[in-house]
Amino acid sequence: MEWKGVKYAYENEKPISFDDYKINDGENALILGASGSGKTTLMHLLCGLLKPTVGTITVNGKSIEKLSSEETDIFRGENMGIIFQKSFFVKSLTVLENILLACQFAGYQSSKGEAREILKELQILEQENKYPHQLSVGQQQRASIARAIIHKPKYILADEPTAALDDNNCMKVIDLLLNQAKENNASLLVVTHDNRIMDRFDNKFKV
Amino acid sequence: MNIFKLAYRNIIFQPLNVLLSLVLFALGTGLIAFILLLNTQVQQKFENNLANINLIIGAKGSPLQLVLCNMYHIDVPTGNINLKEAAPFLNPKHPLIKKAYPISLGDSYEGYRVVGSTPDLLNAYETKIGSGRLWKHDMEVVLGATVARELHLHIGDRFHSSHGVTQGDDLEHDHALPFRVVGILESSNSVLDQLILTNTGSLWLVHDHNAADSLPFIETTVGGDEHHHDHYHNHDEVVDEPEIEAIYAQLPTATNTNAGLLEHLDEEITALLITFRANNFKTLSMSRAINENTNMLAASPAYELNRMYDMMGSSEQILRMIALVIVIVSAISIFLMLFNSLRERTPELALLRVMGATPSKLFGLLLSEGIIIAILGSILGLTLAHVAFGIAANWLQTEYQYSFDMLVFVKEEIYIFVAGFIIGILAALIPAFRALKLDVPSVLSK
Repeated sequence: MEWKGVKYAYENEKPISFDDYKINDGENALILGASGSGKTTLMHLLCGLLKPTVGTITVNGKSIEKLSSEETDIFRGENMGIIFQKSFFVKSLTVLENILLACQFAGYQSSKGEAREILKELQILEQENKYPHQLSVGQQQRASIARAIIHKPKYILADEPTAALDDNNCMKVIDLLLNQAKENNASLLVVTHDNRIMDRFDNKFKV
Repeated sequence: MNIFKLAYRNIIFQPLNVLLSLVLFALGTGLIAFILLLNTQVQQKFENNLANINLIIGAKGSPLQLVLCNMYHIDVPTGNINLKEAAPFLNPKHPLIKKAYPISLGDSYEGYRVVGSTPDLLNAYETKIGSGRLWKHDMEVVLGATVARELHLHIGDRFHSSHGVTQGDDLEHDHALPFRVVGILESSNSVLDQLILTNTGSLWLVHDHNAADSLPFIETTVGGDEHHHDHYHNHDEVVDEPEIEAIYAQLPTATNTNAGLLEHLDEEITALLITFRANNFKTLSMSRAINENTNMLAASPAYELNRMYDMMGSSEQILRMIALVIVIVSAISIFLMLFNSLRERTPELALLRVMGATPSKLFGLLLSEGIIIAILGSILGLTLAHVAFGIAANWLQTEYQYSFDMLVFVKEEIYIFVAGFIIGILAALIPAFRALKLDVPSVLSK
């Protein structure tokens, strides 16, 4: 994953420019910055939800700014797993169905067994048939991690995954993410302003 | 889990939100379907029973009443006509008239009318005796298939009729000799199914009290309660089957031809059903002449039926309008429901986009939700219509002895279904466009 000369301008605002950067396959990286510095904007650019005003973003050998909107959606579904600070779910589906839904959009053939395996690893297998709102916040976050990695994406992008957690849980979640990335041969990108997790990453990019 | 299935899950997840839209939709489509069903089947019944009858001649009164009473047996008679007056039309050599069927009314049994006529009437409705035989003497009756089935009457059964043509008149004839079932008709899906047919003379006999009282007493085989036993105690009871046969054989022989009727010119009948040799200006002027120059009334069933449809048409129009308004309101309700749920579900929809769903898939999702509600509503509505029609049919059955089938589907119901589908799409269109244009980054940054 690589970006060069990327600038992005919101309507009626002055453009934010990002330094060039490259993350090799299988490597992890932190994207740091204070609130409002534009790190969430960068994440949205990297996953194709926003198109850069200028510059190129290459993901898995593809210049994603050149893809059409539909192509970007499909590309993102196939290649990326995304975790947000707040967990979103499809309310009307159970935890297991939510996870399988991600596979379906990613075009990834996954068995229920595979999904259960991951839920078991994340210690929320007992919750598989519950609806998301019946889970605790911690369980919800683990469920969203399961959803982000089920289709074995090349990139796992996490936006402030630890901001709401205490020290103990913070480390647990980061270790979990790092482990899962390693097991799946994926690159983990964490967007954060949380100093507690700094020393877990070698690559750091400051916005 | 495809988009359609996801849409379905979204709908059933909060069923209460959908309930109002669904019920409104079902009411609207149901009402339309109900009107349709009733209309089609009632018209079908009326048309099936036209039986090539071109003209009805009866006593002066309302022409529609004359038709409803003598052809469909759902209204009371306008009165009787003298055979002397009707005699010209009974002439088999009449230049305009191919067939004339006499109709005599006045009695009924358990709500089913006893109709005096000639055996020719069976040919008019293209039916024949299914079991037993035709009447040979007065007081012998042939039952329509429905009458036999509903009243559990068999050949050999005897019953007393009551005076009057509607159920509940409760004026049972106290003459001693009951009607005796000698035959049962094959079902013809016509009005004959619900009639008790007999010789014209039978009705003259039961209404001539002097003649009736002089007849021997025979026990009925149905409906005889204690009261009757006491009442008739002074009579000698006859129970032996051959003896009964012999008593009926002594009754006047049936007048099974129109020529036979002409020997009783001092008697009366209720009406004449007439089939013309050809419908032309001569027949038109004949009916005009009857209306102007005689004490009788001539009415064309086809014309009177059309007049009745026209009258029903306007009230049907109002019902249709009401149904349409309900459907429109339900469409608005589906629209509002989807629009509200959209606002609540923006993060969820953004999530679907992040997971790789294209905008067009979200568009399809919202559209599917509208369509599913509409389809469920239509199915519910059509079911409701058929159940309501079943209830109405039940009422019509007890009230008029006409039976309708609630499980008959008409092809217009498919149009209702298709229309429901389209309304579902239209109601979901605006919310679906909102989903299509969803600004994912701004939703996620909130």
